[in-house]
Amino acid sequence: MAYGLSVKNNSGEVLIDSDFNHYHFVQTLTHSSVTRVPELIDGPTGSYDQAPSSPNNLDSDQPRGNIYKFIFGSNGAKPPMCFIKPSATGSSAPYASIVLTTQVGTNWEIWVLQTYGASAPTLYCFSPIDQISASTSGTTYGFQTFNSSGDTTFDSRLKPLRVIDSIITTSPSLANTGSSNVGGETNINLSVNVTPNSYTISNAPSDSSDIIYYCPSIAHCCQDKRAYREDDGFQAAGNNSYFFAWARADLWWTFYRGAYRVGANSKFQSSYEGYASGHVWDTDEETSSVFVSIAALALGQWQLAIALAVGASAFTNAAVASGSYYPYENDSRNEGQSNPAIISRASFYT
Amino acid sequence: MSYGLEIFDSSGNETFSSTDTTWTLLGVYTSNANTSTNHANVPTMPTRIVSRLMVDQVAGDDEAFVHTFSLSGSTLTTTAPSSSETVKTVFMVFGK
Repeated sequence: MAYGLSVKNNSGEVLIDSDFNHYHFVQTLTHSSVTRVPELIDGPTGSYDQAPSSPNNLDSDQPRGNIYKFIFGSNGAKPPMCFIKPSATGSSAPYASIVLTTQVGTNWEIWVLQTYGASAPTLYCFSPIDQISASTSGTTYGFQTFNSSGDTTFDSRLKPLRVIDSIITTSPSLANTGSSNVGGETNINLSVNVTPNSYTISNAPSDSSDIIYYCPSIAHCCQDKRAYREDDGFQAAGNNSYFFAWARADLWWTFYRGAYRVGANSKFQSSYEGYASGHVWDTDEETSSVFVSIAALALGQWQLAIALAVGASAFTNAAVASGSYYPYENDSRNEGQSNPAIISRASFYT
Repeated sequence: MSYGLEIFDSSGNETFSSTDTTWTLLGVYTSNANTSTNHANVPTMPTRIVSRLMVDQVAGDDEAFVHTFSLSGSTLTTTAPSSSETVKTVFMVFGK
């Protein structure tokens, strides 16, 4: 630089450069609303003589996290950095991640997906100083830098971002380690059971609840469980005796987003959290000697009916994008992409 | 600290010091959906990282690929893995 100020540490890392607008603390945010993707369910619910008529809802092991919506007032094109302060840390802590950052009018809207049932997270939000109108409360103590246009680029009175560590993360390949084909089992498990990717946080405080992190979600995966049941035989009932045959196919799926937590021993952990879950089924039953439709089911034609049911399970007019959230089968996207996590401490900004 | 820089507020609380690290925002670049783009004039620093934001909501039936990237010198090269299902991506380049 021909003029200005550049401050470096012993490692040659730039701490302050007057040419660039630094991120400064603006505010803590609590959520303005919370929602969940609706249950995606479809299938015949009639009664049958022999065929099972259940289960007809989501399994309790299909995760579907809360989506907390935050509104951040910052009129500028540069996105805010919103650090998540989780409601809990440790081996039972919920996973949470920012799944959407979008500009709405003069505000930014931030969505945080978090494991259902946990207390809401708090956001610590930072903006580049050229997008901050916060008051410095008239104090004249501190340190400022200016760029060549005379604009402030760093102001210690506005609590500049201080980082204790940054970690390059990736996401596991899949959220659930079980196989898709579950035979005739209807007590399925699509919970997040993969071993998370764990990273040591350098300079971590002894109180892990002080840790805040910025690591927006980019990875997602979609997995399903498929069950098929059938039977045939003769039902003795005097003059009303009959032959029967039935078949039922069930498909459960969960769409997961990459999510993070501060685990035990101050490890930063990368895994998934359920974003949307669905269950569709199709049942066919004949109480005569005609087995044509049952044979069709047994030959796999049920997949067509299931596919149609997946489409029918989609919803509209909810607080999230409509759709079936079944964009691909038993695979993931963006999981191998490097995703930097920036770690700081909440106590720096109180 | 015996050397370096410490900055305090009027109450004597430390607000920044040379024992801290930070990431300085060098630039924000947007690659539109399904489009590969090269971004020029990215400032340089000894160490840089790139954080990505998927700007638009992941739609319910979208494969939602994020742009891949490489950062070399002053050029950020971003690539859409899919010509139809790559989401709009904001790249935030930080340096220190």
